[in-house]
Amino acid sequence: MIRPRNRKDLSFGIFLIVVGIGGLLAIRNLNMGSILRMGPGWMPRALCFLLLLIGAALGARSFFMGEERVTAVQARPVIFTILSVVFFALGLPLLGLPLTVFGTVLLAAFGDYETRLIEALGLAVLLAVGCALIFVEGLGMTVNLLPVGLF
Amino acid sequence: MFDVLGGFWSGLMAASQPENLLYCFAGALVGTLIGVLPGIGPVTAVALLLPITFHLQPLAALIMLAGIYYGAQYGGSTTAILARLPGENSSIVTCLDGFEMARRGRAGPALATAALASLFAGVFATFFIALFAPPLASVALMFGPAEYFSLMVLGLVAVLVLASGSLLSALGMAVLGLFLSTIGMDVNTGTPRMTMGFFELSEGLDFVAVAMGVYAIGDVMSNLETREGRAVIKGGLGRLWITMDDLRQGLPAAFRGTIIGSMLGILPGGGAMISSFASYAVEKKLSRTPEKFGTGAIQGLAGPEAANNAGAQTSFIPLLTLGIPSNAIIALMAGAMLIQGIQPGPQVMHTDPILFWGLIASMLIGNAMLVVINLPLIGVWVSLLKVPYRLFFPAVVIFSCIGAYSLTNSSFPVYILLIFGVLGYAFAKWQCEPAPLLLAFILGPLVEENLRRAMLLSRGDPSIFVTRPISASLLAVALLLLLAVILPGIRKRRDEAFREAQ
Repeated sequence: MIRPRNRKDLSFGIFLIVVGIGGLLAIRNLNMGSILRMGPGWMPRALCFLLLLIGAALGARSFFMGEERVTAVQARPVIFTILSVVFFALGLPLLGLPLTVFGTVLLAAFGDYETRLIEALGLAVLLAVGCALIFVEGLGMTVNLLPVGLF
Repeated sequence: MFDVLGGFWSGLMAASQPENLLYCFAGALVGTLIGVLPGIGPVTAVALLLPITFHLQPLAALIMLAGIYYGAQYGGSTTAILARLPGENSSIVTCLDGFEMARRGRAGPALATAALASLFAGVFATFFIALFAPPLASVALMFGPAEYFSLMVLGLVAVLVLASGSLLSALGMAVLGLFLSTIGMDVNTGTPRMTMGFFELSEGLDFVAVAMGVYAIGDVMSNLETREGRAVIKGGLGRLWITMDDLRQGLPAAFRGTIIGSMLGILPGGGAMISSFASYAVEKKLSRTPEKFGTGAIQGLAGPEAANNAGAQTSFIPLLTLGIPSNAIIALMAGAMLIQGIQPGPQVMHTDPILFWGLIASMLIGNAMLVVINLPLIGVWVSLLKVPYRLFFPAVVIFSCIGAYSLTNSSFPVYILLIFGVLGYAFAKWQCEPAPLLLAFILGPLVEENLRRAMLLSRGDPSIFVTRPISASLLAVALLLLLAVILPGIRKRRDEAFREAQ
């Protein structure tokens, strides 16, 4: 069996195909209309077909190209960055701005291999205070400064 | 002609208002900062500041964002010259001869040349825009839906052609962008499309969250994978001025670079980076001593530096006259205009002349501010060069989160930010440039609308795009561009150019 040599293009091609199929499923109940009177589903469907076509072309082509692998995914940066943003999304309505900023920055900082704990803590405090000043006092953002439930 | 002078003058008056001066300075400062610090580019900075522009007056917002763009061209040269690290994509070429000059003890003259060449280009480009934008806008007003559709196709093709990575991948990104733009409520019938029950999606994916996700968060994740090594030139900078010899050799190069940048900037897909590459190639070709290039030839510094500034400024022209963004950062500006409720297009010049002329005139002021920021204050930037990435990337993360949250005062856009952050990381792994996706995302609704109208006009006959002359010629140019890239000879040179850049 011929093995795909260009993994990079193959995975991107598969991604596009998945999106195309997902799109077609999501719009299956929409009125398509005709090219003269386009319904809401016309353009999305046309684009999904294009995605499938391009994805298939990339996939097919990947079997014939030179070896190209995707550079390894390193867990630490990805995981900590995701964790930090999720923490922010969940935390802000509950914990108020300064605490959330503190947690977000701390988590994000650990995504870097060269981070040291003292630096990260200091940065987190600095940004927590700074953001509270800039965004709430300065720009008037409507968000709690203190955790819900206190006071 | 007098129209132009009158318009420019009123624009200058508007741009000189204290509020606008303040934001111009802020933009120039942030731009220089972003340009100096590798790991964060002007696209990310503009994306991060988009939520803030909501609170500003439209002119102030655009002046500031524009200042960031061409300011980053100034700042990027500083890192390139002193640390051989391009602070910005367009400064890649500056690393070649600029760093060599610095290595031979001529860092001061190198920095001065870069700043002065950029100033020359900036002033020239401002007047260039003032002269060429109005007639172009008048022509565009005669466009019908078929012409607009073809123009947008041309714009997208141009960005595809100039995107790094394989053409097919770039095409995939563009179609993906168009597809993502259809999520939300259909304008004509009010039916929700692909909103999956989320009422927050009824307005579609928020462009700002998408842009920040792909550029800011995605960048952070990619950058964290590589460990840094930055070696700044030791020793003094020398006098920050240039000798008569330098002037004699550098000025013609700067002039040529300015022309090249001004021309290439207008083309859809054009901008700072392509201009600087082109200028370097031209200078090397024209020089009587091409072997000197790469060892500190001043033409190799003055030309590209002028070109990247001119290119950055003139790349506003398609946006201001046709309503078509020509690269990712201009697409973000279009997003900023939309946030303010202004639809970009040829009508802007007539319905909002102060905005149009004020923005153009502000570039003059901005360039003057930038020379001051870059030359006398150079010491500040040099010390900033030594700040390690791990100390400022968390700020990028938190600003993106806060910015996303502030879009609807809820966490929903933050999740969009996250999803597109992961996607942005994936795109980097797949070596797909995000610019086609973002441009297509912005143009998507217009593309669909114009296609629909064109089909209504022609009663479902697709040949309208080739029977109407303007539309046909636009599509022909698009086809030529595609062929030019697909044909082997040019494709090799294009791949070489990108490889050299890495």
